[in-house]
Amino acid sequence: MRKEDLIQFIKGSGNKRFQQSVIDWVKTSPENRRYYNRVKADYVSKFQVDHHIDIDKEFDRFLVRKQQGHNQRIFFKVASVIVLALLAGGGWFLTKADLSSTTPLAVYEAQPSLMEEITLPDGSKVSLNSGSIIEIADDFNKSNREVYLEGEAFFEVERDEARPFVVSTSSDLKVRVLGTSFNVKSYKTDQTIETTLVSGKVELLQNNRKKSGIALFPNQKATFDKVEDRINIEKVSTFNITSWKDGVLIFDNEPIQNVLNSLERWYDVEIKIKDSVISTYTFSGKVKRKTDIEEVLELLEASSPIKYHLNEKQKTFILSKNN
Amino acid sequence: MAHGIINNSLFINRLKKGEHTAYETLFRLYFDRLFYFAKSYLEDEDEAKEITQNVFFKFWKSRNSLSIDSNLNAYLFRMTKNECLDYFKHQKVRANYQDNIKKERAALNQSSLQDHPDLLLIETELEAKVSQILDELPPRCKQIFIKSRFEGLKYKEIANEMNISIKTVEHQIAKALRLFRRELQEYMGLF
Repeated sequence: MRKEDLIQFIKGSGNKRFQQSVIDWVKTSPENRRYYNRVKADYVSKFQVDHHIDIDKEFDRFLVRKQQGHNQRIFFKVASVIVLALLAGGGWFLTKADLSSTTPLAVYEAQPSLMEEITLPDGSKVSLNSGSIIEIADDFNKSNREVYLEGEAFFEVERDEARPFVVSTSSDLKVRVLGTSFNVKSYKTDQTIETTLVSGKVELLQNNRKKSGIALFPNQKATFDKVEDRINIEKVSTFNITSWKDGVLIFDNEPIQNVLNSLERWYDVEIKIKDSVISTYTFSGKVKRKTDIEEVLELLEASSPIKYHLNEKQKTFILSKNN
Repeated sequence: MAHGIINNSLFINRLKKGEHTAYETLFRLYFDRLFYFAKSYLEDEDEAKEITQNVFFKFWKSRNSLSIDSNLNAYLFRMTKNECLDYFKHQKVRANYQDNIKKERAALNQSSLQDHPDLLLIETELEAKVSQILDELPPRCKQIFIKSRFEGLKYKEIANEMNISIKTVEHQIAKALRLFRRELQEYMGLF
């Protein structure tokens, strides 16, 4: 049999009679079968892809399945804990799992200078600001809805009274909500953790305190000072605070160090203050993400007695006083 | 060579940890080709899609037992082959072939799939194709993409290492992903 005929057959072309004749030929001898196998492998190994697969759709399906498959496994894990507890005989306690000690189910990360939009397994939507990480643990959306945040994120939480949504931070502050939209800014390098409520109701909890949490109402921002262990609540324009998710940073009389911290994360650059007097300045203005960092620094120069220069070697911008 | 890029302990470690971008990269490089391989033997697109999904799901599920010096190409290929063989073994499936020719073709495909030396050829070519996808990227784009997606370096670290700006790193990664997403079909057409 000619190789071309075998290839026609492999492609599925030809009528039934032709196909049957190839099948009969292959079955005639082991040599024929071996030859056919080689031609088939040869043909397949060319990977002449003739289909169109929507990879994004397939990847989403994979993610969904991963989530469901995981839940099944958790069931067995929980079951085994109960069995052990029964064997032990006495009363059993389940201390709430510390997120850092369990294997995270998923880690979502926005690299410096990038932003990510994610949907959590419970349907809640999260915008993740540059240089931020969200982790969810094994039992997310099962017994609880607890996420761990490092950095800044805007949450739109699906309402579920039975399972409050909890944001835990690197400090001992937690934010507990039912269903609402709010912003949490909790970078490890910042002295404060800021929680701003857009709609709904949230509660701030501190691990080390027994007393019930502090409630926050829409258009309020709670600033928790990690060093002084104090919470301050003020009325704010939530639009300014959450505008980062739409690619705009808005500063309203903001201490310059906070402004620089935000810019560093957005542009993944380092900005240093040379003359300490600059630290006392405040800045008001709007910065769009697509604006170049040098243009932004020029804006700073124009609005205050500052000049900047770039240290090429260290890739650092240095701000000094403009006399 | 893809062998060194894909079978890289840093990349395998990221897969073991379940890191999203590592799985996304693996998926974009392999899903299409493993699907094609499965489809070539099963002669059914829907079944081939399910089987390829199973492969990735099982891969993810057993990520903890993944060894740091694994050959990912061989691992994924053999998983796909085994899934296909399981499919053939399923008696119910056989009964579904009403058409005699279809039944004979299935039997032929099942037997071909067990021919080890010939399958090794496909396995080797699969690795070459994946390598080619990466090699078709412009050199700098490829280098940056590998550092980010395979080695897991941060944009800043890449910028420092290559002495380029972070913006450039960002652009090159976006470019690579764009080429992967939109022009994959064109790349495939070149072979």
